[in-house]
Amino acid sequence: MVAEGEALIALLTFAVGVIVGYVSQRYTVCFVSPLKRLLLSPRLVYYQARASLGEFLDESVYPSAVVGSFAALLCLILLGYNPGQPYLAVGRVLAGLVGAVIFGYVSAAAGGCPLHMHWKAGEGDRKAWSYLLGFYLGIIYFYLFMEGLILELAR
Amino acid sequence: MRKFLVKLLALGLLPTLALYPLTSYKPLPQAYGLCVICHARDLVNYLLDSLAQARFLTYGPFLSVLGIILGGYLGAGRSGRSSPLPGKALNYFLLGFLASVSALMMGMCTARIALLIGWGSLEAMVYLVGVSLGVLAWLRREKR
Repeated sequence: MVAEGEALIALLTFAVGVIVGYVSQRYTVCFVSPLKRLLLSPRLVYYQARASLGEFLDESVYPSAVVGSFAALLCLILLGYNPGQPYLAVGRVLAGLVGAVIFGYVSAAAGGCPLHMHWKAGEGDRKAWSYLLGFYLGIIYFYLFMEGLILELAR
Repeated sequence: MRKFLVKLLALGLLPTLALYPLTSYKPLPQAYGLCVICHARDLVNYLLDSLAQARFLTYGPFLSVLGIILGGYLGAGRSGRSSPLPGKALNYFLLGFLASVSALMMGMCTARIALLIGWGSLEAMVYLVGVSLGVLAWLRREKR
């Protein structure tokens, strides 16, 4: 029995995913490599940005995603969407910060963020497929053994 | 400038706007358009829920991870492969395991961090600083 809206969710997100994967494969989109390049040699990135801003924006990933998301927020407010205020707990943010440091270290070691690894797996890279196997097993592991800890911290 | 505009449309504008009609069925989190770990979590937990009634957290059958893999396949057919990954396959298995566990501790991955910064979220900025610290730690270790 498929509930109302679930078929629509599946179709829409699949179409969006195909577009995102195609664009990110063509333009080598990764959300960790720019951070790596920036932290490795900040001066080089600064000179590149000062030499020609258009070329720098073409190469970068974060400015385009941030500006696009802000434009989408403006469109949604015009459509009548109320974003609201999220509820934040200090313990949740601290646990998230620990997770963020581990995530940054691990992603820099693997050489790409999960989005990068997904489109690389689509290219047919066997090491990227073994990354994905660990990725999906890790989700099941988290929800079996670690979710209670995070919920306890968020209270 | 053309690449910048294409990335702006495909990474920021389109995924966020495409999820707007879905909010009439169920309330979704903010800026939920493009987040690899959240959508993979939703897909896996939806399957486990319908197979074994595990009652894990899910917002519906999000298929965008499969779409990203198919999009990478289509793009590689058009423009060729990028450089292969170095190292052993078992290392990548362990790195993927740790990456998904730590991203679920955050509750978002770097793609959604970028989207949430566009919405002005303080939490995402804190997490971006954390990710930068992790990358810096890896770079310091690699330099030696």
